[in-house]
Amino acid sequence: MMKRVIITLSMTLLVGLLSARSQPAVGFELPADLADRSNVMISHQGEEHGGWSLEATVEYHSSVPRISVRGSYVTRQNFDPDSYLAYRIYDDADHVVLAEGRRSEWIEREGGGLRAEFEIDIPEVLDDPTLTTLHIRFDAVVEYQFWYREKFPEMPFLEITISNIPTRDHFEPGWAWVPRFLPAGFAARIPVQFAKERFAEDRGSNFVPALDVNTLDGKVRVPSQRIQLMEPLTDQFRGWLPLDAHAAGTVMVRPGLVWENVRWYEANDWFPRRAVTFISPVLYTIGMTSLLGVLWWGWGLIARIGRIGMRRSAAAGWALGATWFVVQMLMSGFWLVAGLLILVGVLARSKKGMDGPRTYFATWAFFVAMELYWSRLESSVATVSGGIWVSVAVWALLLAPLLAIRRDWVRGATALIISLGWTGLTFASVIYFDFFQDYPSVENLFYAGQIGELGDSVFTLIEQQHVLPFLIWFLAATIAGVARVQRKTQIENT
Amino acid sequence: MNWQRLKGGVIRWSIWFLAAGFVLGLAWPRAEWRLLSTRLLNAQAVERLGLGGYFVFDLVDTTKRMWRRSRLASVDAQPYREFLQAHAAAVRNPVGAAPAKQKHIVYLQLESIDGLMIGGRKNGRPTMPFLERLAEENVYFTNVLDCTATGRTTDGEFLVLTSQVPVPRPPVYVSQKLDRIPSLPRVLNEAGYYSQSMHGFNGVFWHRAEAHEALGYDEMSFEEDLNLTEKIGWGWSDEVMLQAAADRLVASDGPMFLHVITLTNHHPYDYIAQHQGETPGTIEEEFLRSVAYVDSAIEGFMKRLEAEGILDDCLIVIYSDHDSAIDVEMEAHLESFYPRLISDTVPLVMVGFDRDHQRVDAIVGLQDVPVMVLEELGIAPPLTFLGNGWDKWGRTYSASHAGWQMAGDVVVPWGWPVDAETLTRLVINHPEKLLEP
Repeated sequence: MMKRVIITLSMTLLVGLLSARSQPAVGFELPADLADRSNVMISHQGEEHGGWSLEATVEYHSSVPRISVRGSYVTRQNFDPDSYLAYRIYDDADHVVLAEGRRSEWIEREGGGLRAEFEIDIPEVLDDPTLTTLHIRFDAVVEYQFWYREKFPEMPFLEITISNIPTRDHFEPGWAWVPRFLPAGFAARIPVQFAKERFAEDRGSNFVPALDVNTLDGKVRVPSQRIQLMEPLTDQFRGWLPLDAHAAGTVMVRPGLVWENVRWYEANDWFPRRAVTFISPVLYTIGMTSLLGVLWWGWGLIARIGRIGMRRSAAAGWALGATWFVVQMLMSGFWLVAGLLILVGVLARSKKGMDGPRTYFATWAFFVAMELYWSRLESSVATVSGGIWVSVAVWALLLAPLLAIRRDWVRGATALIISLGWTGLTFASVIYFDFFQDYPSVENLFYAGQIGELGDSVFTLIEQQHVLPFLIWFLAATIAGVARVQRKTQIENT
Repeated sequence: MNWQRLKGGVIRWSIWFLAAGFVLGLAWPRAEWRLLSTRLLNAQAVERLGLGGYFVFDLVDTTKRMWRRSRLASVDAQPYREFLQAHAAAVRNPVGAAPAKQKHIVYLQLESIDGLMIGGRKNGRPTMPFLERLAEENVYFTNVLDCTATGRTTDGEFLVLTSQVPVPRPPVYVSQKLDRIPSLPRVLNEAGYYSQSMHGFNGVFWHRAEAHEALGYDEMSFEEDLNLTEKIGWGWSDEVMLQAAADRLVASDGPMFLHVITLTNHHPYDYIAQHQGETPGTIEEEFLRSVAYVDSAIEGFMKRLEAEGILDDCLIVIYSDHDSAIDVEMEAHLESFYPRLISDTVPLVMVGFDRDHQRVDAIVGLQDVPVMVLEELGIAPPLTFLGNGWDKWGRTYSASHAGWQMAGDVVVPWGWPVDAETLTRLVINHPEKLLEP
C-alpha cells in the first residue's frame, strides 16, 4: 500500500515538474533590469482582461546575495474563492529554479476585483552564481487540486523578468581528499584544489579558504582555521587546509571559502560535505601500523610472484595502496610515526654497516621524532623553530656514547632504556606544564609527592595523545627486535 | 685491525659530530640567553631550546645549584650566627607588649613607583596627591632603598617577607627552595594570623605561586583565581584588585595578613593611555598618568576601609617593590620634588601604627618593613631578619650596591664582616644552623 502511495506521489511530482517546465508564458512580461542598480520599482496598470495592476520593488542584496521582491498584485479575473496567488521561478533556459512559491491570500477589493500582497525571497542567486536572469511567473493555485496556468493555459498572468543580476563570486570545485577517519586530539591537513571562475569585483574576492566544519547534524558550524593568504586568491588554489584537533566523534567537513563575518561560500555545485570520524589515536596508530605491516609484507609477496604480468599488476595495486597510505599519513601528521617506524625497521634489518651506528641512528631518530611529536602537540614546545634544531643537535652529541658500547645487547638495552626514560620524562613534563603552565626542572620532578597530592586533577589532564609516545616506543622496539631477528636469520641461512 | 677502515670511520663521525655542533651553534639562542638563564619561565627555555635542549640546560643548572647547596652544608655557620646576633642587638628594640587587639596587616605593594612621586610637582600639581596626604598624616620614609637585584618585583617581595637580602642572581624565587626560610607569613601564622597574597597576573611568572606557598601563605590568589571586572595592561587593574582586597578584609573574622601586589603601573607605563583609547605620549608623561591612576586606586581602597569602619583595625604598609628605572628622567621632568640622599628611592608609608606622624629622612631598606611590623605587634622577629627596628634606621644592605649607611647628611658605603650572598643562602637552606643558640 505504502509503496503504491509513494509511486503515485512521485509520479504526480514528476508530472507537475515536467508541466511546470513546459508551461508556456501567457500574459504580460514586466522587466526589472538590475544593471548598475540594486533595486528597481515596477508599476503596471492596464485594462486588459478586465483590468489588473502590479506594484513591486525588486531589491538585490549584495553581501549575502539574495533578491527580494515585495509588492501587490490586483486583478479582476475570476478565481476560485479558495485559491491563492502563487508563483514559480524559472531561469533563462526555462528550467525551474523554484517550483513552489509562497502563497498569498486574495483579498476582495471594495471596487471589485482581488488583491494580494506578496513577498518573494530568492536566495537561489546564492546557490547558483551562474544565474543572470530570472522569471517570476505568477500563478494561482487551489491547494491540492490544481494550478491555474496548468488547468487554464489560455488564462493570462503577469510575469516579472529580472535581468542583469549582479555578478557574484563563483568558484569551481576541483578535488579534495577528505579522509573518513582521523586520530582524535591531533590537527590534520586536507589537500584541496579549486579554481576561480569569476569574482564579483575586479579587485578580487573577500573570501579566504578554510575548512567548513559542521556538527554531524549540520546545525552548528565548528570554528576552523583560516588560510593566511600572502596574496589575493587567483585563478587556482592548491594547498592544505588545516583541520583543528577534535575530540572523538564525527563532524561534517568540506573545503570552504569564508568571507569573514559575512558568509561562507555556498553554491549548488560546490564540494559536498563529508563525514570525518575522529577515532582514538591509539587505535589509529595501531591500525596504521598494521597497514604499514601489510604493505611491507605485501611487497615481499609481490617480489616472489613468478609471472611478470601478474607481478606488475600486483605492484601497481601495491603502489596505489602505498600512495593512499602516504597521503593519509601526510594528512593526519602521522607521517612522523610511520617514518620513524619505517626508518627503525630499515636500520634494524639492514645488513650494511655495523650494529653500533645503526642503533645510534635509530635511537637518535626516536629522540628527534619525540621532539617533533611534542612540538606538534604542545604549543609551548620549540615554538621558536631554532628550538627543534637545538634539540636535534643536542641528541646527536649526547647519544654518542652509544657508539662506544661494544656488546650489542648492552647497547640495544641501553638504547631502549634511555628512549623509554626520555618518553617518560617528556610525558611527565608536558602533563606538569598542562597543570602548572610551566615546565618543571629535574629537581621538581624529584618531588613527585607534589604531583601525587594533586592526584585526580592531574589524571584528568592525561589524554590518549599523551600516552601515545609509549605505544610508539613499544612499536619501534618491537619492529627493531623483529627486524633484527630476521636479519640474523638471513645471515645464518646464507 | 683495518687502519684504513678505522680512519674512514673517524673522519665520517668527526664530520657528523662537527655538523651537529655547527647546527647547535647556529640554532643556539644567543640573543635571548640572558633572559633564559634567569629562568623567569621555564617554558621560555623550552620554546627556544626544545625539550632536549631544555633538559640539558636544566640538568646543568640544577647540578650547579645542587653543588652550591652541598658546599653550603660544609660552611662554618658560626661567624654568620655571631654576625646576626650582634646585628640584632644593634638594630632592634626590646620586644614590647602585644597590643590588646590584633589588627590586620596589609601590605600594599605598588609596582615601579619612585620615591620622588611623594612630594613631586608637575604643572603645580602633586603627582600622587592622596598618597602625599597620607604620608604627611602617618609615618613616611623619604630615603628608602628597594635593595633588590635581578629578581626585581620578586626580590622586593623577598625583602619585605623575609627581611633578607636577595642573592644577586639568579633570582631567589626561581632558583631557591623557600620552604625553610623564616618568613613573615610563617611568624604571623604562629601568632594566629591568616595570611593571603593577591596578584593580578598569573602565578607561574617568576614561579611566584610556588614561592608564595613555600614562604608560608595560607592562601594565594592569582589572575586565574580572581573573578574581577577590569583588566589593564598585564592583568587585573589595581582598582579592582584593591577593592577585592577590601572585600576580603571586610569579610575576615580574624586577624589577617594580606599582601596585595599591584601591577597596572608596569613599564612602559602606557597601559592607562591604551585603556583610555588614547595615543601614549612620552614615557615621563605616561608614567605620571599611570601613578595618578594608582593614587586614585589607593584612595578608593582607603576610603572603602574607612566607610566599612575597619580602617582603624588595619596596619597598612604602602611601598613600592622597586624604582621605575626612569627616576633620572622623572627628576628632569618634574618641576620640583622633595630632596633625597640618593636618586632611586621608593616610597614607604606606614599607616595605622602607634607612632606619631613623622617624616623619616634616615636611610632604610625594604627589609626593615617586617621588623617594624613585628615590633609593632610585640612579636620578636626571627634572628635571620636583617632589617632595622623602629628608630634604629640609618643603615641598609642592597643586593646590587652592598651596604650603605648615614654619615651625617650623606650616605657612605658600609661593609659587612660576612659574605652577604652566603648568608642569604644559609638562611634559605640551613636556617637551623643560624638559629641554634
